[in-house]
Amino acid sequence: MSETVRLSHSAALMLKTLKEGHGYGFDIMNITGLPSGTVYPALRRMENDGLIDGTWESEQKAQKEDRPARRYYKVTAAGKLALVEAEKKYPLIAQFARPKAVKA
Amino acid sequence: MSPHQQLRSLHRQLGRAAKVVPRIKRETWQAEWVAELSHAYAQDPAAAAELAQGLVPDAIMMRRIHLQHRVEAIDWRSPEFCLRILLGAFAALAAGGLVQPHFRNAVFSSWGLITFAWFFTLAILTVPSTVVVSRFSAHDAYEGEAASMRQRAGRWYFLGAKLLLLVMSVYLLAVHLTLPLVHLIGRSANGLLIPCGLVFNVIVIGWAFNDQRERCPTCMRLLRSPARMGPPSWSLLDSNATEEMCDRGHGLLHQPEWQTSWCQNARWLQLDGTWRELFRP
Repeated sequence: MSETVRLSHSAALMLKTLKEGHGYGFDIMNITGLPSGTVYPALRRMENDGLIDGTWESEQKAQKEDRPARRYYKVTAAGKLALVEAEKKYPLIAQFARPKAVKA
Repeated sequence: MSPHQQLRSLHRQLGRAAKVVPRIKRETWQAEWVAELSHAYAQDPAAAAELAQGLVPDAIMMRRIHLQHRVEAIDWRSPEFCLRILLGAFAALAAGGLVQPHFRNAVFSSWGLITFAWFFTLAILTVPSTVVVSRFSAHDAYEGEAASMRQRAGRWYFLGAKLLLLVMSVYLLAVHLTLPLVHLIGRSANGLLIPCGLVFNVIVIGWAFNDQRERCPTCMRLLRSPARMGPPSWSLLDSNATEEMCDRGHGLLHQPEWQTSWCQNARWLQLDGTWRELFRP
């Protein structure tokens, strides 16, 4: 039987932000208002717990925009399950993060 | 602060924090932070400075996760781990003593060598009585059923290494304990090493034999999952016992709670290969 990971309020907020398409640390900081000292360690912990999965963006895309390649995070199936549980516990989280606007 | 100075400051902070990150993850971690910092700097230099405050907590978290994985990977039940712990204790006691000139004089003087010889003799003399008390000899597992010569030799090497390390460690411990007393009661404090040796040797040798008894005779790993066998009513006409198993599936140790005419000793039930699939690899 798999056990759902219990999330703190900040972690749930970050997971929700990631699920809405804000995929990297600095973006999460801007959306949630959490400091970098909270966001990055929490990202490591969630990645270690298998709630999120980090992947590097392609070098070509980064070079085209003249910047170093970023590491993007995506919510895994276990993370989605944990988020559902967390939203029951913290109902306001559902109203907080809005889906990221996709450029046309 | 000029942009040049700020970039240098960010670079220094990144370099300092990277030292905390485990070497195996350092390069990736730095690459991620360089990307994040340059992105933030391009938007607003002040935001980059704020972002850099997360460098150290993040590096510490990386180290914590790495340590957690290393602790989880330790095989606590293995004989190698036991020997490593004993070797570590011996090394710590030796290193703690050898930095003190009084300790060095006490250990390496002719008196020190004589007391060590006494200590060792006492340890050897303690072994037979401890074997009887710990009922180590009354353990059918060590009578050789289903054990190859290599496994038997391994058991004896393991026991020998444990005893040697323990006796040498308690000798150093006894010197550590009695040395401060020399300043209080003079050289007669050195004589306390012998009674110390007697007490310490009985304790550690007893522990070594009991630990040996609690291990699988095939792989020398500590047994696990003790289960009490038999309802309380068996106390009258039957025998209660505790059973422990080897997590590699080599067998079960059946230890009666008291000796009866039909079940006097701890018995080792060797399991054949067909049982292995029920156990962890």
